[in-house]
Amino acid sequence: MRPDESTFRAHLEEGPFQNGVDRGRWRLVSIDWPHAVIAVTAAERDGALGEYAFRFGLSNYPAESPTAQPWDAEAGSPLPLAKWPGGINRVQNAFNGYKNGTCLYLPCDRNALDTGHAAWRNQHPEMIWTASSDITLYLRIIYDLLQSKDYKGLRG
Amino acid sequence: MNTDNTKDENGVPHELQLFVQGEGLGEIRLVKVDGGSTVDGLIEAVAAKFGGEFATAVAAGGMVVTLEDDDEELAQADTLKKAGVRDRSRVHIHRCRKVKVSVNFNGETAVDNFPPATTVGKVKKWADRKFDIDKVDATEHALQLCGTADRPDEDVHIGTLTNNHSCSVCFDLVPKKRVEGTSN
Repeated sequence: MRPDESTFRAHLEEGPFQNGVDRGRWRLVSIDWPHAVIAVTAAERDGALGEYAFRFGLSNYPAESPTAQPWDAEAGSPLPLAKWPGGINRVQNAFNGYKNGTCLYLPCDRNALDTGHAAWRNQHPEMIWTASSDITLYLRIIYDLLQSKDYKGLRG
Repeated sequence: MNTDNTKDENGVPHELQLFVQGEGLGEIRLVKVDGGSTVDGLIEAVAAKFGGEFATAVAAGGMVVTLEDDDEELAQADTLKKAGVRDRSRVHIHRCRKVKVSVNFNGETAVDNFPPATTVGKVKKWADRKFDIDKVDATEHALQLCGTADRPDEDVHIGTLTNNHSCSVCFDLVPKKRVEGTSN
């Protein structure tokens, strides 16, 4: 097994990830390296499901930050934009469909933190991935967004 | 006849998985211990597994074990079962009996003492009340360790955040900012 996959699987067994599972915040759906699908619980909203699945790209984990896109776990394909989380302010920006919907618009995402967003390192240091981070950094950010007042349900 | 091979004939699980936090552990730790272990045995098991600052604190003596959001000390000679520790229980191990918590917001500071097993989530709710932040705005603010960009998970115990046996933690209550920039 590759070192990045081995480290990721070890992190899944550790306190921070298992704590989130125990609290009902997220759950592992599948691993098909270098990808893993994890579902994150959302606050109850009319017409919306109670969770959203995200497919994480994890090559070179944890040296490199993950990238994530909303995912249809049953179909095994990207979630259509209309079924993404929707809302205002923080949620609207994070799920804006950046780069044709292939990643979330967040500083912890390696595809979003491109040369055009170098300022994020100073503006949002709490969301910046480091080599000592684990997958719960990203999951906590998603969970917080889906539990916030800015989250209104399906994007539509 | 006992047909459950995860427990012994007295119904005690062979193994417990516990969420352990405490002095020098740095984060929530998932620890497996023998189901028949004592509270003292738990401390030893955690020290053996993680070493470092936690083991040093154990060697110095005076460590106390409590359950999450509680300050009643568990008797260390008791079995985990007798002490009320179950599978997936959340426990805290620390030398501090109380942790002085300061929270800064809008030029004001609120201070109080909490058991080290108090969660950041509970401290956050206290801070929201002290600064009269309503329920809606409360979700848009977070506790951040003073002088850092670190915003601990709400399930982290404040005892886990102390340094060098200081028995104190300082937070800033900060707004969660929208991520903005040019989208291509």
